[in-house]
Amino acid sequence: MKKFPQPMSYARLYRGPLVLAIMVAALPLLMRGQFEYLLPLAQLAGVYAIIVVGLTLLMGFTGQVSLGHAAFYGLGAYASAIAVSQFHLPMWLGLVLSIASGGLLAFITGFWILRLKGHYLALATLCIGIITHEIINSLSFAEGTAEIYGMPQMDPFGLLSRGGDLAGVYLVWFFAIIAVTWAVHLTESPAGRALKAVHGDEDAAESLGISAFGVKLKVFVASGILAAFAGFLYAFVCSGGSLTTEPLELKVSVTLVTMVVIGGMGSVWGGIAGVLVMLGLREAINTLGANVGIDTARYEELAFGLILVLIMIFSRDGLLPGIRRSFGRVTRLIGDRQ
Amino acid sequence: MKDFLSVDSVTRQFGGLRAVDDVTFSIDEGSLSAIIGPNGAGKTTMFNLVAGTIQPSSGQIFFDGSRVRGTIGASRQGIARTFQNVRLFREMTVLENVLVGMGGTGFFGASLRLPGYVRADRLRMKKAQYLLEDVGLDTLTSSRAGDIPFGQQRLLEIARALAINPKLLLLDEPAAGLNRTETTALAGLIRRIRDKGITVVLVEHDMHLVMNLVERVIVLDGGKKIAEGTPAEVRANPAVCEAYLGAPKC
Repeated sequence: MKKFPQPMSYARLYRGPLVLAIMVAALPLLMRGQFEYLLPLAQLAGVYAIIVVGLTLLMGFTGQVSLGHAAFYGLGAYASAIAVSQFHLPMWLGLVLSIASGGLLAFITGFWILRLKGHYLALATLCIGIITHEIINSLSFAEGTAEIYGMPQMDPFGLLSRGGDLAGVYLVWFFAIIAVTWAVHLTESPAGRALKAVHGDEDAAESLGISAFGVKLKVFVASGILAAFAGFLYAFVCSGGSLTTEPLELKVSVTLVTMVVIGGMGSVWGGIAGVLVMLGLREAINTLGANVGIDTARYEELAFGLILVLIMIFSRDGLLPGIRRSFGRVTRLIGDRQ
Repeated sequence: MKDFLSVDSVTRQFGGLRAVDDVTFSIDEGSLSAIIGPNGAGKTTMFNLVAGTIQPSSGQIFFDGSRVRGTIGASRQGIARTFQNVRLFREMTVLENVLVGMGGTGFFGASLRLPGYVRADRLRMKKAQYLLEDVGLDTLTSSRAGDIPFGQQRLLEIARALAINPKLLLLDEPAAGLNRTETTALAGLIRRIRDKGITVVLVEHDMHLVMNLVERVIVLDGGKKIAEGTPAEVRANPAVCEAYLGAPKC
């Protein structure tokens, strides 16, 4: 019988998310006793993972740079926090408002700026980040600042109050894994091929009936919604009840882009790897500094910059593809010896 | 009866330059024609006008009973095209390049990935494989498109254009950069495409290919149509010789 190419099977498709789920489930083995203080970091990693999934689709697959995703993240956090703490709305309504505001901001701004290309688009998204930061910074809640204190935290079925930080990790990563699975679905489908086609050649894609602008807008809005949802989780799981404008800072946008780039933009897994590497490194540097007695906060950026440069020199397409190549080389070496 | 493709006194101006100047012609369904002319005659501009990529400054282009508007609109009407300097999705595989034009690109279905959705995709892949077989690329399906030899990239671009199930196929200099053998194979392929009932129009510099392949030739020079007819008629036309060689006799 003749053999035809096949769509990726469900088994192969879900292998990645399954491995990730097992890794998350096994976290308590690693983070216990004296390492239990790492659990909040694992929560933050999940939050970042959700944003990075959307950003990988936008940057890696569709080829559109965003230096302003902190805007959607911060807006998502603030929209829900204001709804719940200032207007005393139920939390699920906060969630709806968070997603709606992120999606709407992405749609409105994307509609105007996604016709720009390359550097111009990067600049425009940078402006979205800065403007959103400024606007939210100018709000006044606690003592005339934009900070919100004493927010209730999420507690579905009393799971979080009973399970503590670990339950929070599971909750955040539950959603992160759903986001990853969705992204894997998308990338291994005609929709994913359309993204890559727009990345490759917009005119050629349009000659095949694919609206480049439409595709870009859809991905931009999807990534905005994911970032806003991550913001909601941050506000109600990770923040401990007090929200500052820190998630809106330019630094966050840059960190997010860095995570996507160093992990490898070619797949969703690269972004996840980027999140783990960046957060892990920061923690390692700080711990090391604390043990030696150096204030590492000053050198953190320096170390990051250096590592980034090294990765770009030795594995330009990101860490994950680089590791894959090295593995290939090693297995070939072993094969040759035998 | 309305013509299949009719170009009705179309002019396209770029600043002060009239790249296409009051050109009128029509193409019959199922025919195989060529637009020729010396460099700068406005052939590619004419092509982009028919493909909807640029709009006429004046005049109208009708295809299959309705006006051509925009690249996406043209492709939905059933106009497919290739590009003068091959424009593949270089980072994607050969198979993926063909699959791009086959639809199903909505986010909703992809997000759920129900069995029906996967079945539809399997069907697309089967069809893409057949298309690649037609152009002789079925052994390269999983290669990166940017890595295959130039001649095969041209063939892949044709297969990709065919994937949208076109009624009209526009080939922009399909033989450019191909050697004799490849050009002969290309001529065979173009004939097979026409025999499937797809109307083909090509812009071509390779006179040998044009004269042996097509049924009808439209000659442009300086943006104007200077001749139209069978290859033999056009070859005997003094205006054409003048345009090509600067002498009224070839």
